[in-house]
Amino acid sequence: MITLNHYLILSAALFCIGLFGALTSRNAIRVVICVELILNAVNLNLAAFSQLVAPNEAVGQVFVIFLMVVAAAEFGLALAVILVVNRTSDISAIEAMRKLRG
Amino acid sequence: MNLAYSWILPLLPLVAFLIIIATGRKLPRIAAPGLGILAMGAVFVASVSILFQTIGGAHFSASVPWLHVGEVPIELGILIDPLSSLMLIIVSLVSLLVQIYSMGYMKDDERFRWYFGAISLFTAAMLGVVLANGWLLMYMCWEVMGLSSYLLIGYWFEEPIAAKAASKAFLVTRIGDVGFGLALVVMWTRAHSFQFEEVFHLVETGSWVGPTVVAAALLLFLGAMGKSAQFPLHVWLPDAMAGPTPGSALIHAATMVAAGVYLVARSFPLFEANPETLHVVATIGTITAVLAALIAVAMNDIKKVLAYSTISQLGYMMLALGMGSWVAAIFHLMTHAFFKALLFLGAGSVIHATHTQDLHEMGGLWKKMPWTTATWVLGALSLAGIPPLAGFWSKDEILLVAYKEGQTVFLIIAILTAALTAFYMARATFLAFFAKPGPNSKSDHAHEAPWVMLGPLVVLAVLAVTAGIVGSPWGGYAFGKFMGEHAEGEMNIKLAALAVSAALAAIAYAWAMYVKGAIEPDWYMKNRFVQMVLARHFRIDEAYDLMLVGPVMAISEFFRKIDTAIVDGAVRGVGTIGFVASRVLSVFDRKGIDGVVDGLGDGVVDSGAQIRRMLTGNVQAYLLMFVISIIILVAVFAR
Repeated sequence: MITLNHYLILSAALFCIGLFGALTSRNAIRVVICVELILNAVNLNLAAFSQLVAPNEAVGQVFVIFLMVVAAAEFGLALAVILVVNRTSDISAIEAMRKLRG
Repeated sequence: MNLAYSWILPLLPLVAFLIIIATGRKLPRIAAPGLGILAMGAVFVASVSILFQTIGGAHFSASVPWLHVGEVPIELGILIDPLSSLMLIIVSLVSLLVQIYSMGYMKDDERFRWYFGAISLFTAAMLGVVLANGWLLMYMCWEVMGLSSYLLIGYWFEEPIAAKAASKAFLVTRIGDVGFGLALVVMWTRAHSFQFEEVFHLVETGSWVGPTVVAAALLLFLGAMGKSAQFPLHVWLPDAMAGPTPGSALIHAATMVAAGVYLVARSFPLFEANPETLHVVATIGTITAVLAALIAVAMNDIKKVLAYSTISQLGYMMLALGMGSWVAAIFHLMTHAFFKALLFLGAGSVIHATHTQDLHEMGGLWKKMPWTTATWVLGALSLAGIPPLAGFWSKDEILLVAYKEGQTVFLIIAILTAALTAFYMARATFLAFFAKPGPNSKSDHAHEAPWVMLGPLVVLAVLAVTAGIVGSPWGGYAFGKFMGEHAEGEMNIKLAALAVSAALAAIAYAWAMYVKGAIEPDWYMKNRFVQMVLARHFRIDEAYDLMLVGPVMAISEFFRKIDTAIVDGAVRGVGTIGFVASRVLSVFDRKGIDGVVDGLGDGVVDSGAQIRRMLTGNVQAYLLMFVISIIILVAVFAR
């Protein structure tokens, strides 16, 4: 039997993997993929709570759908920025963006 | 022309003036005299029409209310009668001729347009003075006239002499203008009107009598003295010759200086009411006439001779007014306007040709400048009172009224002045045109003036010869009748013969001195009295310096010292207290208030500098900070 705790442990693991990747990667695309992992960890949490705590109300599921849409939009935007930065400089996007500080 | 529209006349030159000054250098060079001459030509044509209508008996007066003082309106309006229609003709004709002449004379001048602007402004003001039907409007235009006179005297303001002469003319005539202004005050408090007709009515019916009438008349005469350069306010006129010669001809010979005579003639009922005021006028006029004639004899500058001659002739007109005959004064004003404008324009032609104003640097000009010489001689003979030229008739008229009034002293002085006039004009004529050129002569390169200058001279010469006919037995004394004099004109042959023979003798003496050489030329100039008194204009300028300018300067110096010692001391004392207090306050300010404010600012800047280091631009560092902050927040709040 899979309980709420199993979902939460999996989700925490996913979150930590995503956070680690986002903090340590030098490649901007990898950073973005890791951020997606973090978002999916949140999605998993929401779906699990929705299913197991209040199965009659689909609030959690609706949130999940919203989050997926937002994540897709965010990913598209991030990819576009990274592509432009890569095209204008030959060093990695993260390094290049450091030059943008005021 | 409908008389009701005659208020437009002064506006035409005014519009020309406004266009000229508004457009400045954008205006084509030829357009400035074009506008002025166009306006003046229109005014002249209208004036001729008005003159014919007034000869036919027309009379017109109209006013508009300008202000209301309580229930009493102050009105401004115009008056067309024989006197003003005659003045219109004189002013517009002389102004027209002078502007045509100036096109030649001022051809190469830098401020050519401005010159015609100033002339137009002057003419507008003078037409206003002449047309006004009340003293108030007259006074306004009178002041504008003073302004334009100032502008034209100071036309070459780069030269200190011209600038100084302009200020002097303005200040000296101001003394007279203050009198005029006070006369208005007296008139308002007693008669509650500035309109000629209303005030005259009050005086004639005896509702306004007593010392205030005398005061008003004498104060008006003071104004006339300033404008018409009567002794002792005449000192500005000789200096005014620093302006351009055609401008002098118009303003300082023919028209503006005659405005004082016009003012007295116009206000005549006020003077007539108290004969003693007329006596003052006659005395001042006579003194002016003889003093100025004496000075003119000792002048070597051709324009100065004419300037003193103008003063002398204005004195003559005042004498006629004082003798109770304003018609004789206006008659002389008219003939004088023509021959004096002629003489000034002739002098301008000579100065244009020789570039000198010193009579002793001329000589023999008649060969080089026949037209100028011929017109000048006619003007000079007219001024000297040789029959049958215009000046003879008008001068004779004045002598006759003095004779009829039984004023023997005035009569003798007037005849003496006539002889002096003939002498100095003969002297100037002979020295400039007929004497052998001296060693300093600049006549060699002289040339006849262009026709644009000679044309006006010829027109004025014709008038200087013929204008007197209207006041002669041949013209049936039409002038007096036109002006409304009831007495039949007459002539006293003995008196005329006496004056003419005195003038002829003076001319003969001058001929013997300057042409024949039988008498040493200018022998009287060696006389100490002549040198010290006449050649220095009776030392009236020095007297002014001594009596007025000196004391005023001394008083102002005294007050300057008081100012420095006491007022400045007090001001400095207050200043010092303030300074010390401000030092104390400034220390508090800097250490106390500034300390707090600066401390705040510095704190923000310093902490900003520290925090700035954390913002490296590394996105992942931000993310780490974000995560750590959330962990801390959760640790703190998630209990």
